[in-house]
Order: sequence, then structure tokens, then C-alpha cells
Amino acid sequence: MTSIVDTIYNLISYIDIDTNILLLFAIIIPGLVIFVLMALNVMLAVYFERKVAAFMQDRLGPMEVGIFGFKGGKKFWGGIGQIFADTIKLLTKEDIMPAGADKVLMLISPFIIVMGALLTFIGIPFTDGLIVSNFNIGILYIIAMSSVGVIGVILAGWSSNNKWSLYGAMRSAAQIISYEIPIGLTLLLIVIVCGSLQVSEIVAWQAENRWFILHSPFSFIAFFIYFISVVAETNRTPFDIPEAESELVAGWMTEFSGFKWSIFFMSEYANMLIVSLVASFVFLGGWLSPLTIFNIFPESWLLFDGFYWGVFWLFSKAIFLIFVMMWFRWTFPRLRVDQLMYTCWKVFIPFSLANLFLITLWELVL
Amino acid sequence: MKQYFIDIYDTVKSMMSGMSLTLHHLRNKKDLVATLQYPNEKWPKPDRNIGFEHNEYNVIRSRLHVDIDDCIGCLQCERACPVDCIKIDTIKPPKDSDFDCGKTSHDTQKKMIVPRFSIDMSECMYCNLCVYPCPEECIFMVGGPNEPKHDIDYEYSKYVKHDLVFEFSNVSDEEIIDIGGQSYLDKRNEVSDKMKKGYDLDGVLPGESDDVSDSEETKKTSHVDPGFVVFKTVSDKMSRGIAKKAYTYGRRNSMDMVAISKYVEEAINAYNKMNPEIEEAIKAIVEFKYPEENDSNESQINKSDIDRKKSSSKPATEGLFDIKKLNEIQNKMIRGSLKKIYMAGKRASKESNEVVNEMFEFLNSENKISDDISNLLSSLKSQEDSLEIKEVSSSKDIVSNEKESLFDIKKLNDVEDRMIRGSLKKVYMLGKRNNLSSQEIIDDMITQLTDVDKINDEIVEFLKGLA
Repeated sequence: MTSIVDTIYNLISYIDIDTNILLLFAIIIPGLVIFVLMALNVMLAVYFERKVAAFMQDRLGPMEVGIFGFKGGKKFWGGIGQIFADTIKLLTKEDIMPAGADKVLMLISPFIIVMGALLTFIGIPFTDGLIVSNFNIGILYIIAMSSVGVIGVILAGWSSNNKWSLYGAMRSAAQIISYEIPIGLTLLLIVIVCGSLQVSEIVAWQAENRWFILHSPFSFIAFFIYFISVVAETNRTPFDIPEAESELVAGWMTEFSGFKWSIFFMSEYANMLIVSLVASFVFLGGWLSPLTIFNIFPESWLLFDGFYWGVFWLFSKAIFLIFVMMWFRWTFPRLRVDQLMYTCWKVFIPFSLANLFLITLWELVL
Repeated sequence: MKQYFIDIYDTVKSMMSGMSLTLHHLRNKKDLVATLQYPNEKWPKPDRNIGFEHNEYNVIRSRLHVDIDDCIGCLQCERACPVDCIKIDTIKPPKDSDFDCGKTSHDTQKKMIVPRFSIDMSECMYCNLCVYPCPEECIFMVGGPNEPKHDIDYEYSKYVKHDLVFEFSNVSDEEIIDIGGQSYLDKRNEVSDKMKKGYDLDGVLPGESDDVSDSEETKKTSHVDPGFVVFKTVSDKMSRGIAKKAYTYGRRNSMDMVAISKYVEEAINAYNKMNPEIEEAIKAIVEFKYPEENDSNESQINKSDIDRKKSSSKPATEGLFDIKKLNEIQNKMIRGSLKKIYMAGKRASKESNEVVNEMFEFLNSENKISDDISNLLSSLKSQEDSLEIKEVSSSKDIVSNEKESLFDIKKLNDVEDRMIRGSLKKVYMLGKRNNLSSQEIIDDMITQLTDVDKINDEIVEFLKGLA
């Protein structure tokens, strides 16, 4: 059981049809599953984020909207129907196309962005062996695909024919391209240590030795560089300069509405989930239970490891990291453009390079 | 270089402290959440201390409340209210009725019922002045020292302003009828019917329509109101519309024709649409004449108009003798038919002589002619030639004669039933004001009694005896 596509193909291979058609089905089914997963993710994450934001600001967040008379809790976690209300509102809203906009580009740009987000999931495992396709260059593929979105962002900003959109898009492009470098360098550190680009190999190395975050002081620093960089790459506060509300209205999303905007929204939260999942299985042991953190406990203690527990642990870690992103958002004020660039080029990249050099020495010495 | 690392250290440190602050708020949300989920949760009653003994002063003025069971309908609060937001209606039971209005909690016998006690809280300014005069202490601001009587009540917000008129009366329609307040009910229903009609019309007067653009509608309205014919000569649609609007406005506010024409001119000038056609049309407003307009505006139209009319119609109508003179005729049948002839003659604007001749003809044909009547009629005929002043004085004489001939109101006190007596007295006073004769008043009384089904032979005989 190496990948979902293989498994499904084997399952339906007894049907006597052309192999290409079977392969098509084997690809479409996980695609649909991932799409539904993303839709659920955005719905739940929006509610979660609103609640976290409210509590951190001494508010209550959505409390009134219920569904079928069920509102959720009375005191704090009410308003569960807000999830569905928001979804229905977004999908039924009027889709406005500005008169001066480039219609074709404006139509395809949201789909390019969401495509980049969804394609990344091909290389992302959900537990041991549950992966759409287990590449031997998994990490490289993930880095490559998560950069596709920037094309959609530039197209969206350009096609809107709006100064705010264009400003936002240019800032976004500059930001994403800049922060690709520290992300690449920190992930390269992991690849150097375990000697493989394959995701399952990386987690297997952690199962054998220890979690990467606690492997060495350098990988510890690398985790934080990676995490802050991905926050910047997903354009979230405090790095939300591309869509800075007070300056650019909504940045490159200004002219988008209705379904197209909800696609942007979906891709934003999908990207959050992706980077959190990557951080989880690269630095935090992936689908391994917390007991394996130093690998000091005997095998018989590891009752909470396995296929299904793996899904639980991986998503727990990812959701915790998403929570930390929200925590960032409601704590830190937005950076200036020069501060953003300073952080990337003068802090993260030198530190990553130093890390890379020192971890090789560490590996050689120890 | 040193500063570089210090900056990084500071950044990490301040990030930690910032995140610990937000985490503190997240963790202690139970104590820190400031939101009050208003309809489900409420702030506690404010516990204020403004420097003197709380219980002695009504410091919380939340809403006026009336314990309507204690209200004796003395109207003291209504009079005290500086903004007139309290409206009270009372009905007193008739003196002999055994209707019990009940007792207040202070053991005061109530003497009337209160079918309406409304307080318009949108007008109330919380001055508390209505509270002090109340002898039964039944009107008060809720909350505060009145807490035992009524809980404090902040939520009297309403969706429409009209709902802020709080009605406290609990008197039912049956009780009002029992107490003899049928006329009160009728009046109230009339008012509510009128209001309902107003709501149904939705601000549009009957017969009025949007006459600016639609040509078909314009035709229709011009048919109803001939005034619009005047504007038919105007070719410009826009200015025609403005003129018609101004004209309608003038008509509705019962302006006279000169004022209307001025108003129309002003409206046209305001839009800079003056042209020769319009000018002509405006002139035509004053010059245009159609009978109904002249009739209705008789008293208001300028003097030249009145003079013109005097030359044509006045001698016909004013020369006719006064109809009241016919009241001297005793026989009811004859009087009625003569009056009919008189009215027919008046409508046809006939001379007095002609009318009298017609009357004679009628009487002769019916064989009802008598000396009295013929005398009277011939006297009428002769009066026609006399001067107007004389006519007035003679009519005055007749009126005074009639007054003498009217029976005394005290005679009615013999009627046993109070209700009947009251209504009879009303009819009497009405008749007296209208200078009716005794006979007519008695007729009116009988019809009135028949209407309310209180008639019996005794009263009829009694009334006939009065004449």
C-alpha cells in the first residue's frame, strides 16, 4: 500500500475496460475526496478562527445562528450554523465582473490559485501509506506546487484593472518569492539529514531516531524559520501586506466577489492546512504519537501508533499549528514592506544558510 | 552587528510576551469576555446612590405604569402632563343606574369607568410630574422605590413608533354599553374607521391620480375636473405636467381661482418653463367658468365675481321668502307639502309670487285650503315687494314668536325615565337652537324615541299634550 491511486487502481482493475479509463477514475476519486476535504476545512477553519479571534479580544464571536434549532453551546461555542450560513451566502452572492477587467484572466485566476493548493495534496500523506501518490521527490514537489499560486495572484491583480489589486499582487509576488528561499533552505536541511526527498522516508527516519524539531539546535531554529516563513507565504497576518485592509482594501482580491472570492478563501485555508501538515510531518514526527519524540520508550508502550491513530496525530499537530497561525494573527500588528523584506533577506536567509552549514558539521561530528 | 542580535533577541522576547497576553485572554475567556448576550442576559438593575436616601426619591425613571384597577378617572395626571402624553377618557354611569365601578385598593368608591388610559411613551419626557397629583397613587415610574409594585422594565422598545402608545385601560366594550356609553363607542369606532380608511388610501386622495405623464389618465382626470381642459392647449408635456400638479394642489387646499393661477405661475417660473401657451392657460384659469366652481367658491371669490353673480342669481334666491314662515301652518301634512313646493321653487330659482301661486294651486287641487293658510300665503306674496331690511325684521319677529310659542323645558321633568328625559332634553335644546316650533320638536322627539325603541303610548300622549 504505497499510494491511494495505486490502491484504487488495484481495486477496480478486475473491471474489463481500457487501462487509461480506469486510471482516470483512480485519479478522479481521490481528487474529489480532497476537494470535499478542503471545502470542509474552510468551513470549519473560518468558524474556528472567528471564535479564536473573539476570545482573544474578549468577545464571543458568532453566537446566534443555529441550524435546525441547534445553536451549539450556550456560553462560548454557539452559533454553529454560521458555518452553513456563510457558505450559502458566499455561493449565492452576485458575481460581479468590473467593466474594465480582463474577463478571461479574471475568470481563470481563482482556479489557478486553488489548483496550486489542491495539486500540492498529491504529495501530502494523511497517515502511514495514505497518500495520493508517494513520490520519491515529495518535498520538492510540494515546494514547487505551493509556488504555483503566485501566478494566479499576479493574474488576479492584473486582470482586475484596479490599482489596489495590482499593488497587492506585486507585493504578494515579491513576498512569496522572497520567502520561498528560507522555506527551501530549511527543508533542505531535513533532506540533508535523512538523505531522502520522499515524505515517507523522512517520517521513517524520525520514527527511528527522534523528531526533527529536537534533533539538533539548528533544526530547532529551522522549524521556527520555516513556520514564520510559511505564515508569510500564506499571506496571513502579520505578513498580510498584499491584502492590507487599511491600505489596499483587500489587495488582489478587491474586485472579486461571490463564488470566485470563495475560491480564493478556500485556497487560503487549504494553504494553511498544507503548510501545517508539511511542518507536522517534516519537523513534528508526522503520524507518530508524541511518545516517539525521543524514541526512549520501548516498543510495547507505543499503543497509540498505527494507521488510524496516525490520521489523528497528524491532524492534531496540523490543527495546533493552524491555531498558532491564528494566534499570531490576533497578536501581532502588520509589518511594513521594508520590515518584511528585512526579516526575510537579512534574518531568515543568513540564519538558514548558517543552519545548513552547521547541521552538516553536526552530522559529521556526531 | 551586536545591534543585529540584540534586535533579534528583542523581537523574540516581545513576540513571546505578546503571545502570552493573547493566550491569557483566550484561556481566561470565562472571566474576561465582555459581551452581554442581551436578550438572554441582562445587566442587573443599576444600584445608584446620588447623595441622598435612595428609597425616598424616585431616582429610577424607567417607564410609566398605571395600576388601572386603582384609577378613579380624576384626570389629575392628564392635566399635570406638560407634554400631553397621557390621554384619558371617562364615562360616568347614569345617576339611577346600579352599575358598580368597583373600589380602589384605598377603599375609594370609583364613580366612573375609564375606557381609555393611554400613555405615549415616545412623547413622555420622564418628568415624573404626573405621579404627584394622583390621589390613589396608581400612576408611577416602575422600578426604584416602586420595585414592590412593579419590576423595573427596560425593554419596552417596539418595532413601530405607534406601539409605544401604551394602553392601560381594561374596560371591555360590553361594560361601556352597560353603562350607557353607546355614543362613546360609536365615536371611537368612527375614529378608528377613519384611521383605517386613511391607511387603506395610503396617502392618495380618491379621484386623484398621477397626472404627469400618462395621457389616458390625464384625459380621465380632465373629465372629472374640467380645470384641466385649460391646459390642453399647452404643447410642452413637462410644463403641462407642472401646471397640472400645481393646479391640483391649489384645488386640494381650496384656494380660489386667482390664487391658484398665481400658484401655477410660480410653479412654472420655478422650472423656467414659461411660454406664451402657458401664460394663456393661466389667464384662462381665472376667466374659465363652470357652474359648480362658482357655487362652491361663492363666499371666497373676489368681489367682482360676487357682483357679477348678484346681477344674475341673487334676486331669484334672496327674493324668495323665508321657509321658516311656513312653520306657522299647523297642519303637518300641508306644511310638508308646501315646503316641498317651496324647495322645488327655490331650486328652479322662481319668484316668490310664482311659488305662492303654485302653493295655492296645490292646495286647491287637494281641497285643503283654509283661511289661515290663504292669509299667510298672501302675506308672503305681498312681502316680496317690500325691502330686504323689512323682510329680515319680520322674519326676526316670527322667530321671536316661535320662541314664545315653544313650551318650557321644565315640563319635560315630568318624564320618569332618566335616560329618556336626557335624550328628550337634548332634542329640545337642538330644536331651540335651530328655531324649530314646538310641534316640530315634539315630532323630532318621537322619531328619536322610536329610533332607540323607548317609545310608549304614555310618552307620546304626554308629548302631544305639551304642544
